[in-house]
Amino acid sequence: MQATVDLRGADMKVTHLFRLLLALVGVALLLPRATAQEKPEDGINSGGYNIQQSLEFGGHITDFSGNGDTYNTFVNIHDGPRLLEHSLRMRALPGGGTLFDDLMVTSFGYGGDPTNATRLRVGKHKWYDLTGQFRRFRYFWNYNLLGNPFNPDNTVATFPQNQFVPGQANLVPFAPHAIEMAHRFSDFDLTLAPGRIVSVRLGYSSNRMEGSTLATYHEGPDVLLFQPWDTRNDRARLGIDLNFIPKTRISYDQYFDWYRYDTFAVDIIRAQDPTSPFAADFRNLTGVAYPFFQLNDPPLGNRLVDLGIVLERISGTSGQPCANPIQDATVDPIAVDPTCGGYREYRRFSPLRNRYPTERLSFTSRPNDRVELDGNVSYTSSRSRGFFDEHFFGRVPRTNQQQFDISGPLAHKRVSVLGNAGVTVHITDRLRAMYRFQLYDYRIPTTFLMQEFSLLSNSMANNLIDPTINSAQCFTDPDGAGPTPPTTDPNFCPRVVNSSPADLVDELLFNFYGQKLRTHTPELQFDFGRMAGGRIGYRFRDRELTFRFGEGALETYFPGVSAPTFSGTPTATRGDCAAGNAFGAAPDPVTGICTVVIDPDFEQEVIPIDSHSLLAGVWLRPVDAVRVSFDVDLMSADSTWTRLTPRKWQQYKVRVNAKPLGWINLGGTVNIFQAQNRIADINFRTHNRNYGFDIGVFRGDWLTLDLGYNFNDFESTNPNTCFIDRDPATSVPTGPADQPLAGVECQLSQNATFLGTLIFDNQVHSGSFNLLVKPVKRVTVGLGYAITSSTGVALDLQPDAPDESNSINWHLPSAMLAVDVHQRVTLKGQWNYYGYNEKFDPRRTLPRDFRGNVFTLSARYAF
Amino acid sequence: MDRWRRRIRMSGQLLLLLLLLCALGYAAGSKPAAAPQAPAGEYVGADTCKTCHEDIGKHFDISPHRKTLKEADAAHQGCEACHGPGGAHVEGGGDKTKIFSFKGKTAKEASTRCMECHGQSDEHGAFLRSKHARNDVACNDCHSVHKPVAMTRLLSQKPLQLCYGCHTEVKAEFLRPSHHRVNEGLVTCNDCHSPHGGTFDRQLRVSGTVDAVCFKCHSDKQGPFTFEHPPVKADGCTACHTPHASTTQRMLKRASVNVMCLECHSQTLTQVAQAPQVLSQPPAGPAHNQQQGRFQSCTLCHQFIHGSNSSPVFFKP
Repeated sequence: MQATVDLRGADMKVTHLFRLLLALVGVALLLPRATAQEKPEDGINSGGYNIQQSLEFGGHITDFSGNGDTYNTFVNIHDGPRLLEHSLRMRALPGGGTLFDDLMVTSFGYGGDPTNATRLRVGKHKWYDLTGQFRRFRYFWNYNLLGNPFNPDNTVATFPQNQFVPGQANLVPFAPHAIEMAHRFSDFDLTLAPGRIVSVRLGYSSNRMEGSTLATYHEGPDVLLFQPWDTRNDRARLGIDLNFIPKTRISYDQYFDWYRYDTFAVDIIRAQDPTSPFAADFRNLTGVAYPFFQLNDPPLGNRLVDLGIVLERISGTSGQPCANPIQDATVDPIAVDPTCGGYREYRRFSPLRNRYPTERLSFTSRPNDRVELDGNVSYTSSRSRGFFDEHFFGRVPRTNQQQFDISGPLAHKRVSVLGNAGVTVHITDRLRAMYRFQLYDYRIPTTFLMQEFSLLSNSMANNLIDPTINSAQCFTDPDGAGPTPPTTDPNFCPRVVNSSPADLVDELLFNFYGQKLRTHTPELQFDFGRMAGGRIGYRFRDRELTFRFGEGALETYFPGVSAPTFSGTPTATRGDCAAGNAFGAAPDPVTGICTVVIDPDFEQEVIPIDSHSLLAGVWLRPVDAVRVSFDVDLMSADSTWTRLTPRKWQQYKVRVNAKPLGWINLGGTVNIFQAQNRIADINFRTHNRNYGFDIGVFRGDWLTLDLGYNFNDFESTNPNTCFIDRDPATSVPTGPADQPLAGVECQLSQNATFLGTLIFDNQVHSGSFNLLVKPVKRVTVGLGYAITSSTGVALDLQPDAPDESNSINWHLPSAMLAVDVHQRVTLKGQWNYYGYNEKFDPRRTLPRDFRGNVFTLSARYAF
Repeated sequence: MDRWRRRIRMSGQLLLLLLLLCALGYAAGSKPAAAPQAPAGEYVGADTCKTCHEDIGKHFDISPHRKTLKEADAAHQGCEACHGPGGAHVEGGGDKTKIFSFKGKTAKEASTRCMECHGQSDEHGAFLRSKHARNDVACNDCHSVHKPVAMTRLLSQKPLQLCYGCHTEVKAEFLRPSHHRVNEGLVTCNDCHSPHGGTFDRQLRVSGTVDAVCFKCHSDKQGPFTFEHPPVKADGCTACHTPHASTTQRMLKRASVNVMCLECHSQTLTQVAQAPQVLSQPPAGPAHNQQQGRFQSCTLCHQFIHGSNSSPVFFKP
């Protein structure tokens, strides 16, 4: 959905606005007078129930300028009528309520808003409780972060936006991983006989994601793929609560989860073909036509080729798609060199089915006034079954693959145990001892049996040579004597390069990943009196990560002719079959075929980490209306498993909450988190500091004021990081120099690797106020404004990528006027503004700023 | 079948263990479990209370607590279910000292009272050990039995205002452009956090499949995968993402994907020497020139970074 800059229809929108307003006033005037004497909040009594209902119907009129894709990513509100809100509440009157005591249904956003939901809650005391909700989110993401040298330069103001110029392929004015999907969630929970000695719980949830997405694939060039998304997770629940012991509940739950992944991907030549079932979805997502090239191959006709997204600023630095891709620019589409890397056809499908049965046992008990117990244990063992199928047709220059097919079955498991147990003992009225134990143990053993079959050639235009059929015509030596075996016909020999894979690969991959996490937390809590209390505790966390990896393979190399001339004696001596290979493999002297058996090889790594934390806290309540809490968490670990995993952290939290008057709420927060991983040559350190306050005034229904400010200061410094940062043209290191520690060297060759400091810092100021006033009885006025202003410094690794992309301003002003034109009818007008402004140069991507106005007119009817 | 038999047997054994534990607790108990106190008093019924507390009574008649009037036991009926027997209070002419009043009670005292009825549920059972309770936050700091704003859960303010009132930094976070749709009403704080106490740090809930709560919605990232990206499971989604909102894209902790990745995928020789076990698994230092256009975003190629079934370098799903 490529939104465009649209100010042309402003007049028409104003006309629509007046028409809508008139319609709403008309609706108000037509409302029955007979009910005027009743207040909406009193509801209607009928059938043994008191019924209250409200319905807000209206519509949006939007007007925005700037980048429509970013607008849709963040806002995505468009013109049209909407059911803005609906609520129904039914309450049983004394003597009534045969079916239920209370029923509540609320809904919002139907008719096209990006979020809409319906929530239901109904129940009858001690008989049943039913809750349900349906939620839908239209997830749009098209925020382009990818600098593309062929994209329009910002300095060329006249360049037609979102249009391709023939021959100037491949512009990508959209995010290469754009998403437009619907996310639907449904949840239903029914409790039968709640609060009785035995109660039963039943539930069902569904979580479905489907829509259009783009993907990229790197095999040769980087190409776009169209990826229709389809995943679904269903869950059924069955539980029983046993309450036959006083003050004790014991519950057992059984969950069944089924996950289905049916997402697949196809090349965009196929997706864009007007006859394709994906054409409309692809066009909706990108909004533009994507340019293709052709192979100048008259005998086979005009065959389209996708050369991918050309991302290199300097020609020839990566050889992608090749040094001189254009063969004939006078034809349309432009004809390309068939020895370039390119895609003529690609598809992959990897359906997956996961089952996750889970059992959970839990209990809560207060056997006496001095002891409280609770605990639960859950066990899950999932099984996954799937199949992977991938087909490529085109050319990968690095390997000379003209076609490859990869397929094979998948089988995974995941076994998890989560246990929690807690006990609190009230030693005296003021002193309590608490202990909590947590166990989280999971292991994930997986296998993938993969078969890969490659056809190798040095041109996309060549006929396919299948070595399993044509091998004998390429190479035969009946006596196996050599040294000059007869080559029957070199045209039947695959064209290979040293990096070509085996023609046939059967590979079995095993992986195991697991973690055991045990946490013990004893704590002593004490009350100094009514006005203060505190606690001190210790947390010991014992963590063990286990990785195992294994693979075994059978590789078959057929004889082929080698670069650069692709002539001479066919041979299979490449890859694992190259001379002097570690496997002792050699080509069969009669057939020339080389078979390599790689025995399964296992590696295991175990990383134990113990951490110790001091936990302390104090709360103060100097007067009833003021509460202050202060928390400290000081952690130290003896090891770490990533550079960013802290060995030490210090966390301090202060929260103040005050209600000087019943209708004023004051809140304040100070959060300070700092962490380090200072060993050897890592020296990673970070902090996240946050200071804020909030003032809320809730004076009946005539004044609501909410005012807040927050400052967040984040910094991460990671010195002595290794990466390659060289000018692509000159190969001269031009990265951000720093003062690395003496003697620190990178894992890769020092000559090729730059040792530097990765820095990211970000300061965010956020302020907001919302004011709702009822100056006269029938009129409500609202004003609001929120701003997020972010600045910071990020290490600039890439000359094309946006600079300091964490620096933005995000404005959200709003205004509202509601008039009660009738006791039951309120007319409402609202204006929301969305202003997104990036304070940096977007370089090779289109500017992403936008300004959007959303006018909402509505009528609310309540009875 | 064997697997299921094992599971059923294990569940049965655990159930027996729990029953035994509870029985031991009772045997060791020094006092009987507390019921609403002041046994000497008499229960007068809610109608009597309403004669003086008319406004509260009107509200009580429409509140969910009115259903307690159907309880058979007078100690669990109406006003006296929370305030205790009102006989002495009535006879004393409304003497406030002769009835349990929440006014002036400590958070612990007030919450303990609520837990008499609500303490048995899975949701509320561990509240007194929750972070909220340990910081002197009581049930009636968030819930208002007599003057609620939201009738469904008797909340004292609208749900978001309630959480934001103390967690001011979270309110600011959700104002950022990339955010979970909490202010829009699609997602609630309750979906991820349990305000009454949770299993994990930050009172987080877990997914039904005993995994991070994020996978409840983002089920496609849950796996298991042939090739897991270990931080996803070991450190959680928050290893790379901010959970609430951010000014950066995809709620990443860094503005640039490459900086995010390089901070871990950057091994020095000293580290290799000190921790050789890490060498054969990622993170290895990338051999890509960061200035080359095609390497400007790691996830352009390593797209299925949360886990892959077919590609050890996360190129394919």
